[in-house]
Amino acid sequence: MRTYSRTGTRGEAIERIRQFYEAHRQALFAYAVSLTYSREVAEDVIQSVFYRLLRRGRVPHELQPYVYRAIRNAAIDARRRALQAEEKSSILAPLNGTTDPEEIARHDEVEALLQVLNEDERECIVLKVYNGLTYTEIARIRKVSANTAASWYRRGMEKMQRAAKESLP
Amino acid sequence: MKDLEERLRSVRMIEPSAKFDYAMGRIFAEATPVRLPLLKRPVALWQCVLACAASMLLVVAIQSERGAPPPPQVVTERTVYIFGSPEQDQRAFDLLLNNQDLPFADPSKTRVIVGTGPSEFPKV
Repeated sequence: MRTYSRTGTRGEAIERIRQFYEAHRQALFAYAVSLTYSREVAEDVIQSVFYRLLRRGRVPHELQPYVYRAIRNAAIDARRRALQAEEKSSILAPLNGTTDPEEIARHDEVEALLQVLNEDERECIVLKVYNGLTYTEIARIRKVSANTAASWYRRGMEKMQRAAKESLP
Repeated sequence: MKDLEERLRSVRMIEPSAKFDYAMGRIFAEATPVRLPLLKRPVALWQCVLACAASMLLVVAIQSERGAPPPPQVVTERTVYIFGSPEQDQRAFDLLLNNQDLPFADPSKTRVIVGTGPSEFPKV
């Protein structure tokens, strides 16, 4: 059951949602890209989630897990619709004209490492490493136990470590 | 594992486009309620009805607080003092009793005391 905070005016609720969005803007976007593999779809997903939330004019009791869950659900729906998308977007910033070979190598390595993960592991690692969420928070978003979230994370990290060792010359 | 986490974090994450930021700005701006001046704010119909009912009740309460106006005074008896010479007294008395416009014209309700000065008037 969804619970909402009933204290405060509509204006206060909107201000709280705005502050949350501004503090988590990039993390939410990267999370949405990691689920949809498309920056355009991810943008649409975030816009629709916040549009619906603002129209309600109330702050959910637990705003962070609520927003992440809403993004996840919307992203899964959108991904189903855009399954034929050929070009997959990465959660990493593109190398726009970078000539630094070290930066390029690091980017490509991380990109390759993320490819070895399955969806649960990838999502869990994005939420923990890039978005700074705890296992308990991830568990709340995914509606699983904290142990399950921790095991996705551990398995994913082990996979990436193995892949990193194998890629060494 | 910490080392791998650091390596993952060392690469910048993707940024949303300027178009997306603009669209989000509009979504928030449209959702923010506009604060109208006090006299221009819309008033709900039920609030108008409630205000009218409250005003009516207030008027009724004030009127009942004031009470009914006092009844007009009923003259039961009057005393007319006449002093002067006996002839003048008699004329004045006749004039008074015969003048229907005066309130004490009714002889059954008027007591006439005739004398020469205030010392003869009875002490009440």
